[in-house]
Amino acid sequence: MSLLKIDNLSKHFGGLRALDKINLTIEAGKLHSIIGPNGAGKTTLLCAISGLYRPTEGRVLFNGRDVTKQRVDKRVSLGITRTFQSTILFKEKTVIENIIIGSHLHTSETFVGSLLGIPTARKEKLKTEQRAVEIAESMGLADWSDKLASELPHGLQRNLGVCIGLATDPELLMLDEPVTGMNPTEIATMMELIGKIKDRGITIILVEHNMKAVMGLSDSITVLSYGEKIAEGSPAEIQNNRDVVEAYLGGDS
Amino acid sequence: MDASMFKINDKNRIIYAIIFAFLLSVPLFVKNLYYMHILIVTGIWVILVISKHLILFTGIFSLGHAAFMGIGAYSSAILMMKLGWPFWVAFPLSGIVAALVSVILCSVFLRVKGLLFAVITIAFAETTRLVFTHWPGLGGAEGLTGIPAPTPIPLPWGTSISFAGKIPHYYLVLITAALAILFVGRIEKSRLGRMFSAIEENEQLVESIGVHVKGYRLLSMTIAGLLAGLAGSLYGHYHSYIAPDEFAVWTSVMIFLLCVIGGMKSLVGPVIGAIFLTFLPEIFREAKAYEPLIFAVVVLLIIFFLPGGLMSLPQRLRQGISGLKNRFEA
Amino acid sequence: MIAQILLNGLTTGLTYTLVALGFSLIFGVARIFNFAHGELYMLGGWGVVFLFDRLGLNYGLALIITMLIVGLIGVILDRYFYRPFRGELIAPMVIALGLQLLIAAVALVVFGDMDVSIPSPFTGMTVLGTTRISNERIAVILISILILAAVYLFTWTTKLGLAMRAVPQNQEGALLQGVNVDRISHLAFFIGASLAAASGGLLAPMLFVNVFLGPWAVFKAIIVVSLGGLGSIGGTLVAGLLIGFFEAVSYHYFGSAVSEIGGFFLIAIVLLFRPRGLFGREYV
Repeated sequence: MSLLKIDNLSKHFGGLRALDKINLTIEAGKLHSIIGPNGAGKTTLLCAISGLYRPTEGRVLFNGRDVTKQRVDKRVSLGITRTFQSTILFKEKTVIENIIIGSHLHTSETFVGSLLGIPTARKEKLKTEQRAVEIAESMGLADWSDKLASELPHGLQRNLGVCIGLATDPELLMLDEPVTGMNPTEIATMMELIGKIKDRGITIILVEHNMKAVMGLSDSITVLSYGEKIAEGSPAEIQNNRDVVEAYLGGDS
Repeated sequence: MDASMFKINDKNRIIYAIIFAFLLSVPLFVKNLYYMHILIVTGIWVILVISKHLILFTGIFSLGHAAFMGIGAYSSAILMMKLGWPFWVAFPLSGIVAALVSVILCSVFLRVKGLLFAVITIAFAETTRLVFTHWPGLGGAEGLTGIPAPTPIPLPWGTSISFAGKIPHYYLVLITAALAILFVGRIEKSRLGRMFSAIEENEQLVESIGVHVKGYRLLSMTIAGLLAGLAGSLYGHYHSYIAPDEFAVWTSVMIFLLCVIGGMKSLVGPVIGAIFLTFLPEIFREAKAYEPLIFAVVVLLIIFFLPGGLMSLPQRLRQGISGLKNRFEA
Repeated sequence: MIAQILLNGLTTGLTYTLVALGFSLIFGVARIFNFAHGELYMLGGWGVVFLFDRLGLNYGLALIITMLIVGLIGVILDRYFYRPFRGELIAPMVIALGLQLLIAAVALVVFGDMDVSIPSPFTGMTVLGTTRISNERIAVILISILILAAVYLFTWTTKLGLAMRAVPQNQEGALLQGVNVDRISHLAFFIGASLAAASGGLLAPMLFVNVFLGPWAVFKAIIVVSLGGLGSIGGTLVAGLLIGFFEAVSYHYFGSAVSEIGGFFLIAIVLLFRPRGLFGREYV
């Protein structure tokens, strides 16, 4: 059984067809990229999977379970997490605090225990902090642990966003344009870190505008244009696909 | 970063303990009934602003807070006057009633956010005030008089603590306020508080990591409602008279503005705000008519020149002085 | 009888629309939740009291001068109090509350705490069929419609008015096209404040005037705007009239208690199921 299955998903905003009968299957442990020119519907698709949007028609199945009507927070507890393309962080909290908040679903520090300040709760909090440090290290933020999120250089802020997503211990991590606006060095670093995430067994959906960046890492690629799927396959197949090239040239990439 | 001066760490704990011990001993050397009265009134405001701080801490802007105070006040009065229950049952129950109303209504109200939520709380506050005014048996617009003082506490050696005088009221309010501060303070520092604070900072992000925002907000409003209800009960049984207009929107506005005036970075701010309110009329004894004016001017001055509230004054002064020093040394 | 009730509803409804429209403009264009709006309404009433009753000026002239002065006060509020905090969320709110308190407090010192009644500038009654309606009411209705029509024309036809409507839709776009946000904001405050003053000035002869009317007036404005929705003059009008009619009818049949409670209750219900309001084009 595939990890994620999108079944005939459409999303209309009034007269605008943002997504039109999309079908998609993602296998566990793979890295799947969704690319396409601006306005193709990539982020809309992410929002439909994560639960921010309710599809106009179609279904979202996760581990065989129909999650189409589930709230966002419910889906996260099931294992679907997404990050954002702009830097959305808790700016007034430290890097570690940011990640700790992300791990709220997976900490044994009980609310009441924390409230009363009992030793077990404090031990659990330390464990959570430990885990946060590890996650920070895995994304290259080890030196910034106690700095405020607002103090991070712009390039690393995206990393923190991914850390917060990782903290939820997802089965499926969806990254929304993680390298948009980065220079080639930063892109290479980020893709390497994403590769390491994949090595840990987390399934990844990468939504990107930048086709080149995702070529190296993807197991499979879906190409969207104007809300429709126009191509799907391995990176090699996509690279040589004429429709894809046209879509990108026709757009404003 | 100097709000740490006010955080509850070990060094400050001693200071707060000393302050509390001092407050406990006040009736021993303060015999002036009027000052006792002021302290009691301040204590009740403290409970109100502390509970307001909790909902501000969660990022909720509500103008219905005073309505919960009113619900607590009227419930408590009715329980004692119509059902004849002792204060020590009515008091906690009034808090629970207020909390229940909060849960039930906010589970619906919290479907909307931001400014629209604020508008709905205005509608709620006004509706509650009108209910207090027109519901039979509550005394109408003139209010409810003759609310009994708390039931005397029987002591093991025969006598009892009567609430005819101010001193028992003082201790009751002091202890409740201290417990409220401790309670809210602990919440804000615990895991729950972390969630509240995260929701306040970035709702979109927090939702995307699986937090049921509405649930947490509901919890915050309920706890705050409970405390406001308790404050209302203390208010009613102390003044022995309550009126619907005392729990209207403008009272909620006052509670909010006190938090602003005092500062919102920690719980010390609201307390300072409450103290400011009750001592304000004292400072301007002569010019009673100018009191609302002074208050309004202070609010505006604070927001323009001291956004961190009065609690940030020491820090600002320090910055100002070191700024001046730099200017002269450079 | 029914006609009488409807006319009463029409009168108050129109005045509600005026003050609500002012509030809506300020919120829609300048993005300020002007809690002090009710105080501007109150000042409008006092302006008419002073100019028309105390100084003996012609009522229409008194009304216009009051509208202009209060309009200017609105601009002052924006320029010196709100402008430094443009774009923020909490600070403008606190300032609005502070201003409400300030203006009310100053008014209390200047005008005292008594209620003041002034004679009506339009005496006599007109008979329409079987109903008798006071000329005062007719005047209020006509003047209100006139003012509303003027505002409508201005915002839909003049360049400035269109610019004003462009800002809430797309602030960045408007900026790019050279629209001076400050200017437009001041304009919105000017019109908004004078509308509030008009409302206060029109109702002054019919009811009474004191310094405590502010909160009541701003609540009415908030209720009407929330019900009718933002971004639509027509919507505000419909909402204002609805509330006016509802109040008139329920007051007559059920008394003041039900009409007031019922009003708020209904609003809450509507807002919960249709946060945008009946005709709103954007979310609050």
